[in-house]
Amino acid sequence: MAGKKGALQMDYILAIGIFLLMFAILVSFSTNYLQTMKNTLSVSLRRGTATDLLDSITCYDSSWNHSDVSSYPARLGLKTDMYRFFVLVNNSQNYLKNQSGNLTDLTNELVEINKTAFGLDFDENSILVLDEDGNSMSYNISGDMIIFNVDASIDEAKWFTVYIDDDSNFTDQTSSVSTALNNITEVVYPLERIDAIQYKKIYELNLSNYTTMKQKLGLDYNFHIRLYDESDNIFLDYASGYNLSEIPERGNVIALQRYVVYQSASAWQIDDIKKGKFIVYVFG
Amino acid sequence: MKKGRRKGYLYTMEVLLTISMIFIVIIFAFRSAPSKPALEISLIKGDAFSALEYLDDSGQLRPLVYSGKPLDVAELQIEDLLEDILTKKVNFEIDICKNSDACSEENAPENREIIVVDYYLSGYKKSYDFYRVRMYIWKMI
Repeated sequence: MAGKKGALQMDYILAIGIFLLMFAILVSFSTNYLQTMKNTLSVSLRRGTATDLLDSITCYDSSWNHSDVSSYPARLGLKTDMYRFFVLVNNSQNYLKNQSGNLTDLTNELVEINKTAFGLDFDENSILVLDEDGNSMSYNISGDMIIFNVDASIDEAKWFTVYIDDDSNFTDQTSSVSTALNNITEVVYPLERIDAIQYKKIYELNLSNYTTMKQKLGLDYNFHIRLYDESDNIFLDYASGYNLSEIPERGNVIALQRYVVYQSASAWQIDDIKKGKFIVYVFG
Repeated sequence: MKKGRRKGYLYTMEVLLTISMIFIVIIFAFRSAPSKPALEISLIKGDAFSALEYLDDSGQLRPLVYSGKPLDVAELQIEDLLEDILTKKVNFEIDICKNSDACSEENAPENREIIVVDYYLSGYKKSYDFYRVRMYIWKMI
């Protein structure tokens, strides 16, 4: 009888032992699974934040003033609508205003573009006229006309690219244009809308308070935004100088990049439309 | 006495049965590791379109397409430009189709998951010809 009781206790001990073993295995599996899930979710959330941030800064148009925190946007957008069109100046017989006239080499031929024909409001100071080599040219505004001068030899055809922005903060950069010679009928081709990163918004972002911006955007993670030019020089570095926004050397850092075109200016006068890339870092 | 022996035996069998059921539940619940959501295809498609849009906004795409040269020359030139823009984890092919011509699929591999992105151009300078720039893009193994 005593032997039998002992045998019953062995059953219990064995059962408890097996139970504890199974429990330990279950805990180990669960911990591993949950840890993996946690890491995966952590990376996914950061990636989602970085994708959202990159999409908004390159595709969205918001405006704010860096010194007025109440104007900080809920969605950060650096994009502006720019318009590009081409102008052909062809010093050949078919394009002479006076069809019975003779062709001559032209110096300071007047080119006129009627800005009311665009059918949209734009910032006149944002006008950028580029020659075929991408060099910026002087222009002026005369009434409803954008005017600039061109040299063209006989039978020479020259193309010019003109950019305008629907809203910007550039300063006047008109200069005197000779109106003495106007022999050619220039051809102005239809406008094409392009997305470009606006200089004004880059300026405002650079001066914006990082902590306030992060709060306004409702971001849970820290972020850093860089705009590189074609030579990989940093054109914008937001927000350098803030400890929280410094990219850590360790940990989960998600970096996404996108190529963009952006307005370049000096002393608030637009001088080029450049190619570059945005890299957005999300971490923390 | 025999009955007493059988009780212990039955109890042990119950435990073993319970353990087996637990094991089966664990195996079914945790047999595959949590996987990332399958966002890659939509991300690749978005990146591909952004790359073509960037080439257009920067004024590089249309001069090549409307240059008047054979389309396969323009395709190679566009591919060269895209090499520096797209991630190295993908392969791609460009096909340019004029007007309503069908785009060729001969350069896209047959045994892969291909993502197709179309970018439409309706004119450039004096030309109002319609072109479709098609990108076939797929992940490298």
